[in-house]
Amino acid sequence: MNKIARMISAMLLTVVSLSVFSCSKIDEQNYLGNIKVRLVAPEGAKDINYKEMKVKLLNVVDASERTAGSDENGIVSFSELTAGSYNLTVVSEKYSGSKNDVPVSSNETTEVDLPLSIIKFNEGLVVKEVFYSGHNYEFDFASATLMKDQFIELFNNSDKILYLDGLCIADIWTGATADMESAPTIPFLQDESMDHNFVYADVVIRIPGSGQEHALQPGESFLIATNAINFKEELKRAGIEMGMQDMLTPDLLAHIIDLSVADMETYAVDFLAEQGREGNAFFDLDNPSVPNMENVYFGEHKDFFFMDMSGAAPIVFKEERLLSKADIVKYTYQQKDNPVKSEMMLMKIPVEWVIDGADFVNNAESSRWKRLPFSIDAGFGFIPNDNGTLTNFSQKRKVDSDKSTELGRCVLADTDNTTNDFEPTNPPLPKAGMNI
Amino acid sequence: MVRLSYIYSVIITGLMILISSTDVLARDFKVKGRVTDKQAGPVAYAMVSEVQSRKGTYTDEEGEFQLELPEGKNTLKIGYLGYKEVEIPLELKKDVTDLVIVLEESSLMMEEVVVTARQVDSRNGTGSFRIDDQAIRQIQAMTLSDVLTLLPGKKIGSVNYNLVQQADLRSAVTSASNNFGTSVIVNGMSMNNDANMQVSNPGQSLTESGSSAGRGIDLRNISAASIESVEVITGVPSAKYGNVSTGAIIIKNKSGVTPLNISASATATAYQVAFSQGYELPRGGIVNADASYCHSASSPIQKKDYYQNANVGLRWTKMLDRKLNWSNTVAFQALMGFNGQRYEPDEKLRTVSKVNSQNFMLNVYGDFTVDKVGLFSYSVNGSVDNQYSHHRDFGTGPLPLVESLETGTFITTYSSMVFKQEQIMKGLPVNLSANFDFTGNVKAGGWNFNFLTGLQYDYDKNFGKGRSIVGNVVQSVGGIGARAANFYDVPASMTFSVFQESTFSHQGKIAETDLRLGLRYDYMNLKHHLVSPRLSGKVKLFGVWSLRAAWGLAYKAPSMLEIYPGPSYFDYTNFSYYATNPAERLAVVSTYVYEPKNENLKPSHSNTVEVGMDLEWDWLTIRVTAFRKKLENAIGLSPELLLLRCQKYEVKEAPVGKPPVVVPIEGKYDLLPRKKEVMKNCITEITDGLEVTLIPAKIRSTYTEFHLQASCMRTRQINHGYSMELSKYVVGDDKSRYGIYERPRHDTYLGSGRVSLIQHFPRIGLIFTLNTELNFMDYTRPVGGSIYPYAYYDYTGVCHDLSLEERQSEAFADLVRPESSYEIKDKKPFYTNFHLQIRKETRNGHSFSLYMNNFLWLNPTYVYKDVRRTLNGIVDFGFSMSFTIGKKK
Repeated sequence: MNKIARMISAMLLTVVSLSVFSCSKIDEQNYLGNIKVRLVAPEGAKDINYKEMKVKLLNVVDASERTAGSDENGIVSFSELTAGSYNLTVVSEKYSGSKNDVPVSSNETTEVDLPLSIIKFNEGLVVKEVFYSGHNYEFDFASATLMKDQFIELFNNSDKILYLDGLCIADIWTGATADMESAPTIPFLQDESMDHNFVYADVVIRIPGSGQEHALQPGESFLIATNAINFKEELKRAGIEMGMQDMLTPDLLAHIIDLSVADMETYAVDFLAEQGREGNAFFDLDNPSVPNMENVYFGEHKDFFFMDMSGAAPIVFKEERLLSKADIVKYTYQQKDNPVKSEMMLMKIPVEWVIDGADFVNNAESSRWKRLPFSIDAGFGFIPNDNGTLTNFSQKRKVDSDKSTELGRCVLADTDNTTNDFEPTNPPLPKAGMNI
Repeated sequence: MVRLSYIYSVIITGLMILISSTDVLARDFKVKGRVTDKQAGPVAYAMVSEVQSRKGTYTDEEGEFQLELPEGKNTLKIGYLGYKEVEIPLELKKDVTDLVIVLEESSLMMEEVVVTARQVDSRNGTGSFRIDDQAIRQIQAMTLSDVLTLLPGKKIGSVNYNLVQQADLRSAVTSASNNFGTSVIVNGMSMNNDANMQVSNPGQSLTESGSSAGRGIDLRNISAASIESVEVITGVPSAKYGNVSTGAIIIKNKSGVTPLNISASATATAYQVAFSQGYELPRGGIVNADASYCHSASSPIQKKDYYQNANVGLRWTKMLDRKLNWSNTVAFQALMGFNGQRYEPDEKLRTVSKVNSQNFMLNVYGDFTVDKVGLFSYSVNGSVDNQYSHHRDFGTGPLPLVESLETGTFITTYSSMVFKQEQIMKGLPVNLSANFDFTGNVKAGGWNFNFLTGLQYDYDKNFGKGRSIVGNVVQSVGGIGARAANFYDVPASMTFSVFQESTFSHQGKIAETDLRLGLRYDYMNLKHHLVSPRLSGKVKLFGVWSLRAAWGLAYKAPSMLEIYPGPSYFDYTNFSYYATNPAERLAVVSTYVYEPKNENLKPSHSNTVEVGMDLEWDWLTIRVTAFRKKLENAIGLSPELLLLRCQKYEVKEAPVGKPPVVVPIEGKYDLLPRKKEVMKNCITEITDGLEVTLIPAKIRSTYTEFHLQASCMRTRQINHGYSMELSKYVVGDDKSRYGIYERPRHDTYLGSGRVSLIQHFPRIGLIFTLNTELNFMDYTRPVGGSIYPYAYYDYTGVCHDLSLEERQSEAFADLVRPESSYEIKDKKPFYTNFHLQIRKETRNGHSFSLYMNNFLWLNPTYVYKDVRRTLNGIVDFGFSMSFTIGKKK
C-alpha cells in the first residue's frame, strides 16, 4: 500500500518538477528582488540633510551586508537582492532608526517606511564592553573558566566627572536566544501580555555608595567582573601543578584574561545565605581586595551573577525609588520544543530609568528575539562565529576616531544602536582597547 | 490478608492428612522405552519426564530409559536440544516396556517451527510466555534483553547495549521498583542484585548509566548464546519462587550432546561471536561448554564509548544412579561486562570512566526419585561478583578543599583551577543460596494430586572495599558529596523460606480441571515474617473453552543500598577569601553529615490478580487475559527538611604573604534550610491491563502463518509523600521558604500490538517474518496535585499550615508552582512501524539471517500543543551467521 503511494508521489514529483523547469525557461525568473526605503523624519525635525544618511542592510540568513546612501528626498534603494528577509539600520550621526524582518520576494520591489528618531545623547555613561560568551579551551581546561570571567565595563563618554554610586546593572531576560528551539514562540517585544514601558530582568546588582564614592573621570572605564581573578596566572599555575604546561600554548594563554584589575566584583554566596538560599561556591569567589557589588534581585535560576551566554542584554539604570517585591511579575511563555508553558519571575524596570543598554542576540536570524525597546537600543549585536556561545568573543564599543582626535581623548561611538556601535572582539579587552 | 493465609494453610494441611490417610493410592507401573531420531538411531541423554509429578530421567547411550509411574493418566515429555519437544499421553493399566519415541529435528527444513513468543498453555492458569531456540535465532538475539523484545507490549528495535537493560514486565512505565521485583532464574538459581552497592549516585560521577544498583538484574550481561529456552512468568509465579514481586524470567541453558555451533552476528553498533558444544565424556556424563563475546558502541558514528561482555559457561551433567534416576549437574558460569572508552593516541587529557563487573556462579543441582515416595530436588549455589568502577577526570576549581567525614566547620584553602580527581569503587557482592524440595504424587478417584514442599536459604553480603577518592576532595556544590565509604561494614542479609504447593488436576469427559494452591513463608532479613499465598486454577470445557484465574501475594526485600545508602555530605561556604596572592587565600567551609536511618524499610509487596479465557479451535486460537498488579510499599524518595547553621566569620588580622586570621562573629549566623530526599516505602504502582493473542491456524498449502498480539496497560504511580519546593523569589529582607504540596499521581497509558506474518518455505529452509508494530497510545496524565501549598516551612524550619484562603493569597504568591505543572506533556497518536526478518537454514544446520527494522523508513511526525516530533528510528540492519560443525547426534 505504502509502496504504491510512494511510487505515485515519486511520479507526480517528477511531472511537477519537469513542468517547473520548462516554465522557468519561458519566464526567465531570476529570484531577485528590490527594496525601496523611505526615511521618515521625526516630528518637529527641521532641515534634515538626508544626503549624509546611509542605510545598512543585513541579510538575516547569510549575514551579508550592504550599505547605500540616501538621496535628497530620503529614498534609499537596494536592487538585485536575493529573496529572503532583511534587517535595515540607519547610519547617521544625529538620527537612528531600524526595521527588522523586511521581506523581499523575487521580481518585486518592497517599499518600506523607516521612521527616524533623534539620537538622544545620554548623560555620557555608556557600556564599553560586555563579555558574556564564555570560553572553550581545548579539552578539559574548558570548564575551568567557562563563564566565571564574564564582565561588564562602563565608560564615561562625557566631559565631566560622573558618580556611579547607586547605579544598577541588570541582565534583561527573554528566555534565551540560544538556539531557535528554546526561544519563546512569541518574541518578547511582540508579546502583548507584557507592558513594554518596562524591561524585565532576572538579576539586578547595584554599585554601593552614598553618592560620591565612585567617581569616574571622562575617558575612563569602570570594570565590574563576576570574579576579580587573574585567570591567566591561575591557569598557568594549574598547568605547572599538573605537569601539563605544554598544553598551555602562548596562543591559548593570549586569549585568557586578567580580571584582578576590576574595580568591583560580584559575590552572592553570603547574600543568598541570608535569604536562606544556596550560593554557588564553584562560580562565585570573593577577592578581598576588590569591593563587592550590592545584590538586589537574584531570580530562581540565578545562584551567582551571570549573563546569558548565548546573548546578553545588560542595562545600566538609576532607581528613582528602591525596587521591591511589588515590582516582581510573572512572565509566561512557551518554547518551540516544549508543549508545556514555562514561567519566570522577573523584576520589572521602567524604561525611563535606563541610562544605557545593549542588546545582543544569538545570531543574525534571532533578531526577532531582541528584547530591549528601540528607544534604548535601536539595533542589536551578535557574534558571527558558531552562534557566539563559548567562543571567547566579547562585544566592545567602537572608538569614534573623529571625535577622539578632536577632543584628544578616547570617545566611544554612541548612537543608541548596537548594530552600529559595537563590534565583536577576541580576546576581550578589559581596561583596554580605549586608545585613540 | 495474613488471616486468610492461615485459613488457607489449615485447609491444605487438612487436605494432605485426608489424602494420605485414604487407602485408594494408585499402584505404580514400569515404563520402559527408547528414544530415537528419524533414522532410528538412538538419542542419548534426552530428558524424559512426567509432567505432573516432575519425575524424570535421561536416556542412556542406547536411547533407553525406565521410569516408575502411577496407574492412570500420565503425560510424558521428551525434549532434546535441536529436536522438537514431544508430549505423549499415557494411560497406564499395566507395565509398558516397548515404548518407542521418535524425535524430529527442529529445523527450518521441518514443517513446524515456532519463531514467536508463545503463551504457554499453562496448566496453572497464570500468564507465562515461552521463547524457544528457533525464536531466539530468528531475532538474532545477542543478549537476554533482545530475547524479551518478543513479549507482548514490547518494541522491536536495536538495543543500546551501552546502557543497562531491564525487563519492564507488565508495566506501562520504566520503573526501578517493577524491575527490581523481577527475578532472573538460571537453571533453578535465582540471580541476585540485592547486595549490589555499585552506586546510586553518591557523588556526581561514577557513571550511573552503567550501573544497575537498586534495580533489577542487568540483562545485557546475559548472553543469548547459552540459552536454550526462556520462560517468562508475568502473572503469579509458583510458591517456589521467593524474593520476587513482579515477575520471573526462567532461563534454561543448553544441555545434551550437541555439535559445535559457531555463530557471528553484527548490527550497526554491535557484534557478537559465540560458540557452544555438548560433549559426551568417555567415563559418562556430558559437558556443555559455551562462550561468547559481544562488543558494542553507543552509536554507529560515535565509537568513543563502548560496552563489551564475555560469557563462559561450563556444565557437567551425570547420571549418578540409574536406579534412583539421580542426575546431577555442576554448572559454572562467568558473566563479564565492561563499560569504557576508546582513546586516540593524541588525546592527552584522558577522562576515564569504567564500570566493570565479573560475575562467577557455581551451581550444583539435581534430582532423584525414591520409589513410592517421590522426587527430591536440590540446588546449592554460590555467586560472587567482582565489581570495579573507576572515574577519573579533571576537576575544575578553584574550590575549597574539604574532606571531612564529620559535621563541623573547617578552615581550609583552595584547590587550583584544574586538578586531577579520581574515584574508585570496589564492590564484592556474594550470594549463597540453597534449595531442597520434594515432590510427591498421588492419584485417587480420577484426581491427580501433586505436592511440592521445600526449604530455601539465601545469604547476601557485600565484601567490597567501597568508595575511595584519590586526589583533591573539594567542596560539593549543590549536591551530595562523594567521600570514602566502605561496603564490608554493611551487615549481611539472610532469608529463610519454606514453601508448599499443591496441584490438583482432574481430566473428566467434559472438563479438565487444574488447581494450584501455594503458600510461602519467608523470614526475610531475619526481621520480617512474610506469608504469601498464591492460588491459580484453570478449567477447560469440551476441549475448547478454558477459563483461568490466578491470585497471589509476593514480597521483595529492600536492597542493601536502600537500607544502608551511606552518609550524604552537605558542604556550604561560611567565608571566602580568594586573594590574588595564593599564599594569602583561605576559606571557611562547613560540612553537615546526614546519616540516613533506613533500617526500618519494609519489603515491598505485590498483589496480582489475573483472569483469562482461551478458545482453541482447529482453525483459531484466542487468548484473552486481564490483570491487575498492585505493587505496594515500593521504595521511593520523599523530601525532608534539614536545617544547617552557617556561622559568619570576619578577618581579625591580614598579614602579608600568609592567610588571614579569621574569627567567628558572635551571634551572627544564617539558617540554611535544605531539602534532602529520603528513601521511604512510599510508592504504590498499580498496573491494569489486557492482553490478547490471536493465532489463526497455519495455511497448510502455503505455509503461511499469522500471529497477532496486543496489550493495553495503565500504570498508576502514586507517591504517598508530599513534594517540597523552594519559593520562587525573595526580595529585600524576606527569607526563602519551602512550600509543601500534594503530589499528583501519574497515570500512564500504553497500548501496542504486533501483527506477525510468518512465511515459511520448508523445502528450502527459508523463513520470513514481517512484523507490523501498531502503537495505539502512549502518554502520561498527572491527576490531582495542587500548585498551591497546603503548608510551608519557614527558614527556621518551623512548619505552618495554610488555610484554603491563605494558600491562594498574594502573601504566598512566591510559593505558587507553575500553572502548567500538571499538564500532559506529550501524547503520541496512532502510528505503525514495519520490521522484516529473513532466515535461511541449510540441511547441515548452518543458518544465515538478516533483519531490517523500520525497513520502509517510515518517520511519521505529529504535533502536540504546537510542537512537532518525529516517530520511529532510522532503518536498522543486522546480519547473522551460524555454523553447525560435525554431525548432529
